[in-house]
Amino acid sequence: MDLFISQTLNGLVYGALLFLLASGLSLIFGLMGVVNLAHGSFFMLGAFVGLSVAKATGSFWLAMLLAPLPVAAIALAMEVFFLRPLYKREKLDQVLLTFGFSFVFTDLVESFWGKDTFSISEPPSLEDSIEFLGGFFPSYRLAMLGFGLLAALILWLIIDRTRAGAMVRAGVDDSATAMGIGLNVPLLLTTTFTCGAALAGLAGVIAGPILGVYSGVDVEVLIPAFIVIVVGGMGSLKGAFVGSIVIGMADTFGKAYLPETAMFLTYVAMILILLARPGGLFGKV
Amino acid sequence: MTDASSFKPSRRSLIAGAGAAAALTFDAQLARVLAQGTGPIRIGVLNTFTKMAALFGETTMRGIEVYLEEHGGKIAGRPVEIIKEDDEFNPQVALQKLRKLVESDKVHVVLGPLGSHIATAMAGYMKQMGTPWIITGAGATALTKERIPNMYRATLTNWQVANPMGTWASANGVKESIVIASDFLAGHDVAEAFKETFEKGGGKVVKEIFSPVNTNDFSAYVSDIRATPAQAVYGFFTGSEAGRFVKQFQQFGLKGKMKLMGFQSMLDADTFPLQGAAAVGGLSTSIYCETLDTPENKHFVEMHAKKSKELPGIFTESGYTTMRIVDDAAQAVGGKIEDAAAFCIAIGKTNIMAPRGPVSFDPLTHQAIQNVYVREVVEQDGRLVNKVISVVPNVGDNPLNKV
Amino acid sequence: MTPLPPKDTPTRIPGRRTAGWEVVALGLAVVWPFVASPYGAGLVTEVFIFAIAAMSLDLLMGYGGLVSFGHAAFFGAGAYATVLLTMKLGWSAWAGLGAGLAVSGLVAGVIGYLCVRMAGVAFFMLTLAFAQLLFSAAMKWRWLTGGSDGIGGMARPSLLGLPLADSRTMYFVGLVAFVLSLMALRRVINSPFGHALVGLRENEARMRALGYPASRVKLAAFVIAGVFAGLGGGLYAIYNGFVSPDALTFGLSGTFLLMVVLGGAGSLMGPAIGAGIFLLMKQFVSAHTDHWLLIVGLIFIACVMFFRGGVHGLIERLRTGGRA
Repeated sequence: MDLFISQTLNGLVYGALLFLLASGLSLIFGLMGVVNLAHGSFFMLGAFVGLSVAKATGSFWLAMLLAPLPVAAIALAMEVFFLRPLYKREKLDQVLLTFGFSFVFTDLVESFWGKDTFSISEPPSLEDSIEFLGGFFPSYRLAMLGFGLLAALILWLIIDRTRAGAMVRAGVDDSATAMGIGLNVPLLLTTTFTCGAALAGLAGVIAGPILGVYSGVDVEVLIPAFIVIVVGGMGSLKGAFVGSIVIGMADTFGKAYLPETAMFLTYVAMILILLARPGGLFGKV
Repeated sequence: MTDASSFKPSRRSLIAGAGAAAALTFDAQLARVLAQGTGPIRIGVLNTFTKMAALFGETTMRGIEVYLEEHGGKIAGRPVEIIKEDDEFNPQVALQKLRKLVESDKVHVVLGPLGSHIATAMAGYMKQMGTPWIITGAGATALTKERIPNMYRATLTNWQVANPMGTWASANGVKESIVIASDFLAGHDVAEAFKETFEKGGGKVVKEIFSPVNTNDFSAYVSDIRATPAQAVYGFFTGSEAGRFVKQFQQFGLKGKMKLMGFQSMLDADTFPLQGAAAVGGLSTSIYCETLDTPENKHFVEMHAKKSKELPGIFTESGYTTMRIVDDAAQAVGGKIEDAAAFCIAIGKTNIMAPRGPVSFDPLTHQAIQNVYVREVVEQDGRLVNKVISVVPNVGDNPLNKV
Repeated sequence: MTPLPPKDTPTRIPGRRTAGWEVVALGLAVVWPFVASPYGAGLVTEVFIFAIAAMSLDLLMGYGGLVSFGHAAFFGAGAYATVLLTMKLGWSAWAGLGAGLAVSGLVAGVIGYLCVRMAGVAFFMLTLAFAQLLFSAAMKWRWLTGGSDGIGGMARPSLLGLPLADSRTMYFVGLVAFVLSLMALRRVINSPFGHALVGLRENEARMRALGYPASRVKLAAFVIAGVFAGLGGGLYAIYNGFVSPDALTFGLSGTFLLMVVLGGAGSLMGPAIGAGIFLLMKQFVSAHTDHWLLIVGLIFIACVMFFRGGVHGLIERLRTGGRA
């Protein structure tokens, strides 16, 4: 297989993973105006719960199915009991609150699972590599790409085609007006926050076989997710999608062709976009 | 963290007992009482017990425990108290913990660390404090150039192990090779040492890749490697990074296409559980091999089997052998380990037959002189092991360290 | 004992003047190294160093309302400059530290110039991005910074003939630096400039209408905060004889933020207390339980939700019988 094609695939796979994380982060930001600093923790929690489910049942698919549920439950409680009382305060207080929770979640994870690095085994049916275009590509990675695209499609259908989606869009555009026309904004926020967390938890399980499962992975995925929503535009699903692909590609090709400066250039790009277009490529600003 | 035993690290009980305030204040009296050579020997273990290198901290600790269990928890007739601290692989954290071990716990000897960057950060402080210090993991070649009188390295140096691999590869038909290493001191050290002898033997390093520390996803690199004409890859990774690299090397179809060679930490008993069949056929050099057919090693493996289902790796052996060195030196000074200067001199006179083979110290640099083994990963009785395919006897320190 | 503050100061900006208990605390601080072990003295030295950095963030956050998620950039810049100039150019550590202040001020000037025009999330993201930029530079420029291994082996210098290798001398250097920083920052806050900064936080439109150069005031605050954070970083480098990219991480920026909120933003002394609580808790709570992060996290959450004044606010409330 051509090196260019395989690197493109690698970039797309990473982009798919980023999308699962960034889409929730972006929608939460769009609706609540809050950068959720605990979003990486949801990813980490999902990965660890998935690890335990996979170990107990021997099934990766069950892990994928079940792990997002406790994550969603935790996020639901966090939104209702902690974030909601702060709606009327400065947005910053809510951001700080999510920051505090990231410590709590790290402690939670370390006391349940310890500080070691673990790995979830990929499902046996996807263990091998697929041979095509005269080269190899790991089947599991292709499946990851599929998961990402499927999630994007489902999210797009919900946001674009359903009544609930219309409410989310209205909320992102202008939450005051949305409330004025009788939308139950708190319910909308809680639902979005919970679903975003579940999606992050799902991403944690899916990434398990590749990135590993360990305390600290939360920050490591959170920062790239930030870059994605900065590039794509905060509050926009389309932005999260395009941003994920752009960053996934940039990271992969950067590692291969500009190993000395790739990381550096990513941050320069992030700064330039923030300065020139604070709303990102598809943002509402 | 590991199996419970009678001499389990008692950091907590120590602090709870002495009380936080007492640990901070008025400890002169305590120190006097303890300086008489009758209380327990306090050994500070500063190693990495979290994040990507957690595995190695724990296996080092296991080696220490195996030795103590074998000897009834005593060294030179005195009970032993192990005080274990986690450096989190972060030099700033390591310095905080080191100060605690040396100044607050007043340990008699410090064992560790794993990371070369941590050893580098520790060096100035340890030289100033003069506490006996035996390195059990960090392989930075330059460390033994520093002439720290109270520091001994009872394990490999990067140069010592990577150099013979270059010689072996060039003599065994490898013409072109890629070098990929984790982007920190040890990675650069190892890459350079391999390249030195590999190119001297007529080989050519066609590409050098340094991946950021704690890289999770090697897909971009392995794809890149596959596109080159090299017949081999020489890698330096540790812990979970080693596990992921070797697995992804296979998943991207490189296995069978090119030879996988690595530094000892990349293909070791410690990492096999993470790698599975992907490791089979991999070549590496090390100062230890779990299948060595010597009475010393067989005894060690037997003792180790009481604590773990896995075979011991290099760090377990290092922990074990380091305790043997401490024990012998403590006996040589009549158990008065408090006399740091005499104790250090006794360490320097070490001349033992360890599980890994003969071990002694270079009188100038304080580096362990030992055999280096070229090993191949094979499947044996349903499990992965390293088999020695070639021995380079009594390899010393880098000559450049002696000038 | 402590005289109560005059009651006719309703608009009093907290943290402005020396309180009686602070004098008592200073007295205790002077005695501490003579009763404590070198280890105990070292711990508190670290508290002073981090307190300086936390107070500098408080100037931005508590008084200017500018919540930076990249404060480690200035701390790290000061630390790197100090070590690099000492180790590579053979300067004395004090000259290195002095130049470190200039470097961190300069870095803060550049970053501040670009950031102060932004508000809200863009500001937050931008400060974060700049800190990450410096972090990645420190990781990659091995020839200069030693990469992820950092640069070590810097011996502690002497001051007035007293070697800092002695833990007491090091302690007093930290203490004096802390007290001078506190006094200097208080003076800044009490100045017309300080009032303008607070005014901008309260109502930027009104202040602009009154003719205050909003961006310039914020930029100046950035530079001042950067210089003090650099002082903390430089002292930390001298204390450790070592610097690595860990001095520039997102985690460290977060730690400073945590110290400020824990102690109480907008009080200067509060964040210093926050630094003390954080570091001492890390040392002692983590020796007894593995759950120190949980405890810190919960206290932090409680501070955000119920005690915006942080620990300092609680002290003040107790001291004034609930009137403050």
